[in-house]
Amino acid sequence: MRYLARRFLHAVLLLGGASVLAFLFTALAPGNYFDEMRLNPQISSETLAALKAHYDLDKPLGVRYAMWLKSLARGEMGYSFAYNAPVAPLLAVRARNTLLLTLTSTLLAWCIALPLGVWSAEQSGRWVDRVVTGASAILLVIPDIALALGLLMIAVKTRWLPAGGMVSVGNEGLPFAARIADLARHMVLPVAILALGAQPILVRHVRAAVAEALEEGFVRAAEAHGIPRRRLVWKYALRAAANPLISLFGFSIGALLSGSLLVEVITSWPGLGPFLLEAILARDLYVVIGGVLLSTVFLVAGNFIADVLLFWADPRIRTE
Amino acid sequence: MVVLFGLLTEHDLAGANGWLPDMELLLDVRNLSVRYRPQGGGEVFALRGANLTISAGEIVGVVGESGSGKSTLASSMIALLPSNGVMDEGAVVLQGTNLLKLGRGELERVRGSRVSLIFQEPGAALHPTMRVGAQIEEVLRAHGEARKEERRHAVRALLDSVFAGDAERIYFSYPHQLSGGQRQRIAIAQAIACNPKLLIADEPTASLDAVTRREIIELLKKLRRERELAILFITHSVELLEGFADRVVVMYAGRMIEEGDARSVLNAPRHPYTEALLECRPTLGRGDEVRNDARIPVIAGEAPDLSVHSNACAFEPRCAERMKICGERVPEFYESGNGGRVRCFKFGG
Amino acid sequence: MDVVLSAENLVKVCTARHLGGAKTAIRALDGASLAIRAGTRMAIVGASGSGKSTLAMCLACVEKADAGAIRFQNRDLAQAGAAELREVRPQIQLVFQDSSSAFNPGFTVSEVLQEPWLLQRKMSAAERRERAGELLAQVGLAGNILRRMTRDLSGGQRQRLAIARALTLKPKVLLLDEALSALDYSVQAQIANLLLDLSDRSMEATERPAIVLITHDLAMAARIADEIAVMESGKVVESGSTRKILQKPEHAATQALLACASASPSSLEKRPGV
Repeated sequence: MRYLARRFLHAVLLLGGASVLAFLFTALAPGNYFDEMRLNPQISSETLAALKAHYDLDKPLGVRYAMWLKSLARGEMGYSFAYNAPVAPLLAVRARNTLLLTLTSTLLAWCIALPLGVWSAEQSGRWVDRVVTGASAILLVIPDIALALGLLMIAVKTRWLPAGGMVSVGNEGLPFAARIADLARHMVLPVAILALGAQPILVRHVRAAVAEALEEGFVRAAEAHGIPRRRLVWKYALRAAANPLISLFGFSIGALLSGSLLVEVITSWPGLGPFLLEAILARDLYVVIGGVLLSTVFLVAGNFIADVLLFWADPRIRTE
Repeated sequence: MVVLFGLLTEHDLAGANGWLPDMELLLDVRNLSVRYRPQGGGEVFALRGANLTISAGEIVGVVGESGSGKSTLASSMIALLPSNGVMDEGAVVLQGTNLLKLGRGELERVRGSRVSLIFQEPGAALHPTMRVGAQIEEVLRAHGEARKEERRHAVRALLDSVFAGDAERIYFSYPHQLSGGQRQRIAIAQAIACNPKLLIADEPTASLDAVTRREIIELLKKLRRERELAILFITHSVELLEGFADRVVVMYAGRMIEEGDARSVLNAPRHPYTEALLECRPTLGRGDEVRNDARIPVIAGEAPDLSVHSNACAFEPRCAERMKICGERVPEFYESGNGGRVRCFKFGG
Repeated sequence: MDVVLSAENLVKVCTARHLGGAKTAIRALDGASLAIRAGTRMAIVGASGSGKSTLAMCLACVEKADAGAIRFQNRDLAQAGAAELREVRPQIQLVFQDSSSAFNPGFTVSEVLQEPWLLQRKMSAAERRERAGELLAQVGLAGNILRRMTRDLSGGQRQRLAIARALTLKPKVLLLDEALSALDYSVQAQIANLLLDLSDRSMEATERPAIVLITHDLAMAARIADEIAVMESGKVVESGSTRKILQKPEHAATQALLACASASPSSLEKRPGV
């Protein structure tokens, strides 16, 4: 248990550090939300100064950080200049959408990569293995953006799938089941892009980890005791390969999250991606900080989940 | 039995004098040859025409140094060679079935239930993240015991028979919580779980200290007594076979070069290599040799090169008693005069 | 004869660090004392876990003891600073069981042997080559293996090379931690004879290194060593001349080791089964 407590403390410290860094970097970036107003002759410099003072932009960085922490405690995470509203509720809606996308694609990506990688390792050197490793090599060299645009083009040309957005117009009026179906249809494209893009790395790692485990002495010993091949592969080898794969799982959540920011922009999915992009362009300071921090939370949470899984899977960590 | 005896050649019977007629023949290895194809190219002839018989309940010790082919013999007997190993010819006949002719599924049924193999490193032979009790259960499960309760029960009984006590704690332990000796006991429990007739033990004590080594030997003796388990015990530590093996086979450069009753081979070896090997192992004296810096007798020369297929006695370059004929052809087995047989021209040819 | 290296009441607590970061403390050495005399051969024997390897590591200054003193030529190494240790370490050499992991696989034999001299910067290239050849001959290796990669050597050859490298800086003490155990008996005998050659009594006691064989193989220990120290649970429980240990063992641990090692024809006349 001490292990988990330590990992948790670690995660919290990491988040604290990330918030400081996010503050520092946004402060270092040139310009702020009100700079464009300065060019506008109808707004006087007094008004501008008053606005800045209203939003506390004239205070030193440390003070602003302290104030932001206080607002975080109130559940606001600062104030959005563009929306003229607290950041947290704005973020929450988008974060939910992003999480939906990220988790679904993580799940799907692993559901494909795991059997494929294990199968490929088991058939090492035979045609299955060659096809799988060949295909993943091809996928690896295609840039994610090209993959996304390609799939988008197919969707648009065939009209099989909606090319963007999260729901169709008039969605609210539909019965629950139909609304879910509509959402699912909209999810297919972004999830497919993400899950497909993650395949090469995941499949290769799974294959390598399982192939290595199959070479271990205990697999050979189990073989000598007549344990069937299928069980050797799916129980003995896969279980031995669990450690690196669980770490990879934590990492893959982060990778898919950052991938989804891009995919959301392309498929106009109303998640953190487009929202953050818009905020960055407008220099909507606290939204940027909040968005960055929320992504960090997801990342850290992903790794913490991996740590918990590791704790559960490896007795050498659990029993001292 | 009649059929099996019919398959034996005269040659085999000659060596079988004395102990075979009153015991049931269990396993017959015939003319087994294995070579490896290392990655860098070339070939290594690891096993060259091995012949070996084991009777029910018999303990056969195989002695050899690295490169003698003893480990290859062990794994090829249950068709478990590394992927670069090639079995050229030969048969391993277990109670009428040639194991080398079986398909994968049939082999899986034979391994662990009729013949088992245990290895040198008990740490490496156990799954690191499965409880050892569950690992023994897996073997029972693989060989058809479907009921979980029955399996649990059987594992408890097995643990009781290989450990002096503490079976309950050990059942739920992970390998990293056990000592080397305890791990080897677990491996043995796995191996005997389905009551095989033969246990092949490939240097099971090499990584253990002297005291634990003795304990494992005693355990194997006990299992032989209780279960009529035949054991093929492969080792480079000749002294372990004293008082343990019934019969000893000595291997050199992929060939069996001497075989016979354990007492005769260990006390009065006939092959020049066996003689030299026994001499270079110091025995516990009274501590007097040390004072005059007396050297230990050694076998001159280098270990044989296994990548060439030579037509001479492999020990000829290092042999103190070599004759002209030794460099011209490979000696056959000859009667050694003490009930065993030996591949050396000193005794015939 | 003078004591060259001694340990007094050494204590070493090993904290085993587990994967998760949890720690458990084990007293690997618990008041071990030992004296090695110049130019003699000593064996430290004991079951696994008795602390003999830890003692070797501490004597070779590879590990630092938590308490107690290590005296080498009237200096206390347990208190010595880094600079002093750098000076002393070459004189106490340690050879491990698995020498394959002790060499860089991409080094040639010649590079392995010359490296210590290169670091010392005292010898010319020609001198180094000459000395390397001499050392190889001393440990019974043919000169033509100088250009071979260490990974291409056999187990016996590697162990000879490990001893040769240990000898490059003319140590006063040569510690061998299970250095023979992994080898075939015929090769063990050869290496044992090499150790006997290195410490032959025809040489001056100050000219030959003291040899300390750490092993669980009592038969080999008794064949090589003048003196035997028996260890159990981190302590040296009995020590004395080989004759005395073999003929009048006093401690139970010694008796147990003797019983295991001498389970030979004479003591085990009863034959099972047959």
